[in-house]
Amino acid sequence: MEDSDSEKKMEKENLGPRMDSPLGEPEGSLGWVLPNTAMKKKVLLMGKSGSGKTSMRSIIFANYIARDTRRLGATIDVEHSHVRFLGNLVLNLWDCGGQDTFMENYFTSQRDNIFRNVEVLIYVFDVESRELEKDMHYYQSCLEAILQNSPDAKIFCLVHKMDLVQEDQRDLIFKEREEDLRRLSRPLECSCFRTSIWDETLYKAWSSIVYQLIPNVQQLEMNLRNFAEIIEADEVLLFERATFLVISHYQCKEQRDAHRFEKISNIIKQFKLSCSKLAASFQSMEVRNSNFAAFIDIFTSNTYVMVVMSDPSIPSAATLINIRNARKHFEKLERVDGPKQCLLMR
Amino acid sequence: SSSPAGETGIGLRGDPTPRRPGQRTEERVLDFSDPFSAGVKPRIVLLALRRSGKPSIQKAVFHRMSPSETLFLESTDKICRGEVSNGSFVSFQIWDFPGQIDFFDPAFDYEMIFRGTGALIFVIDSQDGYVEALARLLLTVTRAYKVNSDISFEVFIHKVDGLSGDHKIETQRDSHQRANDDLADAGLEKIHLSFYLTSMYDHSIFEAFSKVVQKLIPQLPTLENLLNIFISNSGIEKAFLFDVVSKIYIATDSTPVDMQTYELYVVIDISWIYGLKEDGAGTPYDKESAAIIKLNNTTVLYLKEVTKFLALVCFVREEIFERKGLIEYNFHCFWKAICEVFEVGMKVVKSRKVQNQLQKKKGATPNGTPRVLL
Repeated sequence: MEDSDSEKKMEKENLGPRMDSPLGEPEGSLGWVLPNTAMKKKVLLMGKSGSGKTSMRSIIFANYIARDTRRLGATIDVEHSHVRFLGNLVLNLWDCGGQDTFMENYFTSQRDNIFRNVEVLIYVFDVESRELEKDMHYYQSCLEAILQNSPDAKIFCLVHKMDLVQEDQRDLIFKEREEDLRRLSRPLECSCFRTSIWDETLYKAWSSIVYQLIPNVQQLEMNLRNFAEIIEADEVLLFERATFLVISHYQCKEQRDAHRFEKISNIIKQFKLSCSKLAASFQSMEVRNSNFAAFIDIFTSNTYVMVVMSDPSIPSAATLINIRNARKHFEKLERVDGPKQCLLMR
Repeated sequence: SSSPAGETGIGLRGDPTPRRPGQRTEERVLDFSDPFSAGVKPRIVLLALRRSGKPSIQKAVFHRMSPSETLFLESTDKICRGEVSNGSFVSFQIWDFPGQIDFFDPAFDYEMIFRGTGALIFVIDSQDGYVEALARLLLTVTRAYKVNSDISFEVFIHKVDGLSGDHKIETQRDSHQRANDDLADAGLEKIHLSFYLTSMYDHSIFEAFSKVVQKLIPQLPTLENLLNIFISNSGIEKAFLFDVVSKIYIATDSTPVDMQTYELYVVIDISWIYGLKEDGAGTPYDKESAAIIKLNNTTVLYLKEVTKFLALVCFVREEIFERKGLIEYNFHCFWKAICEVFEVGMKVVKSRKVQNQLQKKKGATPNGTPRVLL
């Protein structure tokens, strides 16, 4: 299915407005004062051309499904987008086109502009790349620039397109890459993830990335724990509402599947998208069998909650009332933190 | 038909009824331990005809099925074979051939296979070009018809998501015409072929499967009737009886089907993660399986287990769903009726089997002709 160039361009233009929130800030500019209620964090998304950066961000933030990303064209220079996250947090994503000409620019004329005030650097490696040395060279150039301009930035390396690797090779190949990257990154530290847009590994990586950016995450976790204990839940998950990334969780006993968070994110997000294709959106869900009952519902204006119960004697009505009552408490938490943590951007 | 896997004792992962060594596939299909197995499952054989390259039909059929529900037996450059039987209301066998179907390949005992089959589905990759495939298809149809004249022949022109609307219609019309012409030339006008345009990405493949499966269910009119009664007495807008594993609906009420299928994988997927016991025992889909999904357009999607293979899925308006008690009572009545329907089916099959066994003991009648089954 070949799209014409003009269609491709249209797709990219559609990508922008979908993600932008009305903050009134012109793209790429510096030195603006933000409204008090928002806190802004700069996230750099870099990597060679075709490594999958735009696809990833469109799936996580712009409600694309994996198949839709086929239509995306090459990113020209830097694409800026502002993604409102958890109400009072704004992720300022810099999706830096990876073609050689742009890359050269980033490290020379645009260097300070790009690498200043960075909270998170995400570097994407195409696992199938035939130019490993060149990839590493660019990566190191990024690290140098980061060291000079934003030494406290958190660094994430995503080894992407893992679906193209044979299943029995994946762990081995990822481990090798991870060791190389850790070594190369010194003295900076990097967290490595293996990802693919075709499964839940994408959600795991982005959940971890976003988790680093949430200002009050410990407080959130503490409150979630109290809530879970009061209602006698086995597990409680908190999702960011638009992306369905898990931002906090509490479990009171060991669960069988260590990868369940990203799987659940993926499952629910896919369901949500399939509903929106039918001009419906899902509001809440209750799923049960003889061993469990799970309740997924809107929680605060920016979050969804999932409560997992394994005690069959607790009627679902009771759990639903408990969730409803807890809402007010968590809404207050969100509101309280907002105004206190405004930030002036230089 | 006998299956090599049965002989080596390979079972499906998580399979609660592992195959005994030497157990034939046929025996497993007639599962009398389950009163709702409907006696004999509808059996479908899929033949994929592709020009070359990797087998693609697996993805279409087994899209989203978990590994424990499917079994791939051989995957050589020549043939790829797969089977879905466990946990599904329908039994599927899949044969994927590059190029020609080799009727002499020992692994492909076509007589055995066609004899026990209700429907033969040919899957043609529309991107490969269908003219050659149709020619090969004809050869197979002829042979199959000789072995078993009751088979219903279905042709899926697959991967049509790449074609425009007009092109699709033209493709379907043209291939239907060619096939019928070829059959007429061979003097086989009495063979009927049904054509479907399918794609994995828009549920058309599941809709096509639904139509094929429905042809094979003798109880269908009764099931539809029961669904009609159920929805009209409960204020429900639409109801389906779904096969949980294959996501194919085997019956629905008489209101028009608007292809608004919601992705029900969500229920099973979540149940896989949280629905097993601590030691991993149990199945994600069990007697207590149920789901309530509230959609913003004031519709509620209500799912309830009916048999170990089938689930009832209803669409109810939010205000009607507040009378959940009424719906649940009516569901219970519906459920009892379904039990009776399948029990009757099972009794018929059981008596046939008994007759069969008696026949074998007695052998031919005195004048040498084999006894005829009632």
